[in-house]
Amino acid sequence: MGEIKALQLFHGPNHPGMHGNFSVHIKVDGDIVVEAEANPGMLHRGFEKLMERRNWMQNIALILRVCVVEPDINEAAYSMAVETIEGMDVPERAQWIRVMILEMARIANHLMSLGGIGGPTGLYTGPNWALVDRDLILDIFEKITGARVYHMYIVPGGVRQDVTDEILKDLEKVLDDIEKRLPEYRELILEHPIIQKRTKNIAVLTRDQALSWGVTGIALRATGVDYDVRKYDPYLVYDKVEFDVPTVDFSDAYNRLWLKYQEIYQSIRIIRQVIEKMPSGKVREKLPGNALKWRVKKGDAYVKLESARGEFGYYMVSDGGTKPYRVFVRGASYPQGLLGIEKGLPGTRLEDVAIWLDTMGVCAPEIDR
Amino acid sequence: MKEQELIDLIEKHVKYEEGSIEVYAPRKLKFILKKDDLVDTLLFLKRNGFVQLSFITCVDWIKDNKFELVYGLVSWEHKLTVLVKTFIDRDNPKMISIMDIWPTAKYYEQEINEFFGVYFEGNPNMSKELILENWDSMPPLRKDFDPQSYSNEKFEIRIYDYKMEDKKKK
Amino acid sequence: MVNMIILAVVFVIGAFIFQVTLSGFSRKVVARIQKRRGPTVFQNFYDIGKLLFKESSISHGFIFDFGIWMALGSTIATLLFMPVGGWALMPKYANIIVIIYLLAVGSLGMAMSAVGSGNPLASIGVSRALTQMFAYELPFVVIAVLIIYLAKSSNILKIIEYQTQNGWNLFSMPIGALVAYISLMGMLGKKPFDTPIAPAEIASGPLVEYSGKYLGFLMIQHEFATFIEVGLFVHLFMGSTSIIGFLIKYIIVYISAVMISSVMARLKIDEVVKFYWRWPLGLAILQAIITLGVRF
Repeated sequence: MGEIKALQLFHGPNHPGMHGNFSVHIKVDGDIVVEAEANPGMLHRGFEKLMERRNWMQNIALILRVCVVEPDINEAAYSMAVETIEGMDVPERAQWIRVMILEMARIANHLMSLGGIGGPTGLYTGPNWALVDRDLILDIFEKITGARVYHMYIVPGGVRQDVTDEILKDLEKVLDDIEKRLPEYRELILEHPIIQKRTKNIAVLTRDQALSWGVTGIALRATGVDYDVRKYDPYLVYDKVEFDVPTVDFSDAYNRLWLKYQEIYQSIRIIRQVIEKMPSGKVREKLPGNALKWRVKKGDAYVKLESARGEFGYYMVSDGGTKPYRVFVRGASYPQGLLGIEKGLPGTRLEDVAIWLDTMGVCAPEIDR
Repeated sequence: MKEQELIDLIEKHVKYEEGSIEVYAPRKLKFILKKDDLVDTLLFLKRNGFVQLSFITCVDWIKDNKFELVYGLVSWEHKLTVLVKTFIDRDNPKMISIMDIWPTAKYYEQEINEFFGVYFEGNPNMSKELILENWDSMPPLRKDFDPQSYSNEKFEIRIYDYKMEDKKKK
Repeated sequence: MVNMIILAVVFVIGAFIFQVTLSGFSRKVVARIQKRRGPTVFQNFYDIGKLLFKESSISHGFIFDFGIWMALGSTIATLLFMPVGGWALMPKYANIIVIIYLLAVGSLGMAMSAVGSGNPLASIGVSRALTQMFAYELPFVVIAVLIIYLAKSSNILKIIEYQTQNGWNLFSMPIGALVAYISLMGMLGKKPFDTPIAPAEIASGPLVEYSGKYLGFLMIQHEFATFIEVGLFVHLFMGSTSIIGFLIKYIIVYISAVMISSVMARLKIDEVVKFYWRWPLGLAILQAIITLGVRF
């Protein structure tokens, strides 16, 4: 008998265990992955080039598409970067509303990815339940912004329109609802013996690895540090609200799920404070002249914020024209999606590849852009 | 650490010929310096708490015939973000890879190589394709790349004549 | 003879309609558990019908085509030996051993065909499926042999007769019934034992290369296999001669398996084997010791 070769498998793009049009080429020896290589490019839409050819305000309709599940971070980072370059002041109430929108998006995203562990492990009740609760949040988004998924709500200078008190009351009801149902997720997913068996000690990430790869967000915080951009580099009004950054000491798939579950509670807490403390006033600074002929001052800025998957930022350059000169998107899952797969995936079993990709938060559109 | 303390620290310990440091927003600094001093400075910053490389990117200043490389560093313990920038020549652009300082630089450099054509010495991925498969034109994020002429050249021009479609239906 | 052929055709079609409707209903049940509305009860008929009307233009070789027919044919052949309540097409040959062996031919046909497709994911899936077969059959056979010993016959009709006299085996050997039920979950490929077709890991494993007609045939084969497996469990543990009673018990057993499956996650293949050979096998032997100890 000759030598048994390693078997090459294509995990994606046409594979139920893969989110988005992204592919991982893996070589397996028996059940163990010996080599893995990320193969992005199937979702490349050339956003960075497209943005250079559109007005500052036109881009608002484009950038959301960078990340599908949590589009609001794009609007916020883009607007904040423009405001930093221009030196613009944002009305106080608009900043509070932005925090509320971002946290609602975080809850929606965490619900989806907490339930989403049912995809790779076969517990399909989890994702279905989570989508029901996510829909409640999308309903509120629809009331505030008029759209369910892509809101185009946060614009340079503030937000598009004010939030009424009725919507805030509805939002409070939804939050109570979700908070009441969160223990059900704990019972169904986090305390499920088979889920525990499948996720504990799987996809382990050490702190050194996380820092040297540049992994941020939940995967980093699960290694025992509370590195959260909201605390360490507060933007908007995050320094005026109280919240904790949950951490655990061991970053495996289960603990990352556990942190997502804990962060939903923190986000609910933040939104409640926002509803309580939000001042009244105007929500949008008027732009000088015609918005489509708006020229932003010459300069550049990097603005980052904490997305559900980690540090998300925009580096923007303006040459004083009506269009951005250069926009660079720092996707939160870029490090784990490319270097992480190459270095971290070998050694895991074939069964755990989907769990690895799911809990590390590999989001294909952020890598391809 | 406050922003000013970092500026003092850099000015005391890092030797560089020309350069400027500026605070452009709270907790965020910009640091422009010459190409030859860049790696030493990055090493110094890494030893002083800037453990995370957030991104590397490139800006094409076609009028000055320069590429601007931007390295975004984050220090969680100092709660600071520093953009270290340098300008390199636009003709035959070359730079030393910083893969050995931050392994994550590997793919950022590969992407810049693909989209701007900057060659990073020491990075093994320079000849591999990351995102653009079978790309045969100039690196597409350069300012002199014209998407319209590229697409005219590659694809046949199709004009959708809605009036003809209506007539056909009738 | 003609009479028997007509009966056989009616039986196969009846079993098909019953099981496909029931699995459509089970999709409704799962949908309700998952807070969805779910498709109509007849969705599986639509699916199978649509697939059968498709043309497949490619083939992966003779083994690939032949394996499908072997799987479908031998499963239908197995079905003909299967009694329903007190009625059987061939009362003399309604034998557990025949059924277990013929059913394995169907699985082997599918395994052959899947490996013939040449897709590595399919081979991984087939090797998992065969491993899982080893895992669940051992405890199941221990219990089946115990029942054969008690009934002094391996004919299912005799076993049903034994139960009408001495009460259901479900009550006289509850541990054995539990073991057989867990084995049944493995046979049906319900979670947590759906490792061979794990979609997120190996993209549906053996089924990865099928489309059109062949996928339709495999769906039909799966429905017949389900009918045989669940029916066997009902006969072995809740035997009675009434046909309506059989169908009601069948529905209860099948829907309960579906409901358990919908809140379960998938085990890895090594965990499946470890599990079956530790708990169900241990319990099966315990049941054998208890039952034989009581008798002697």
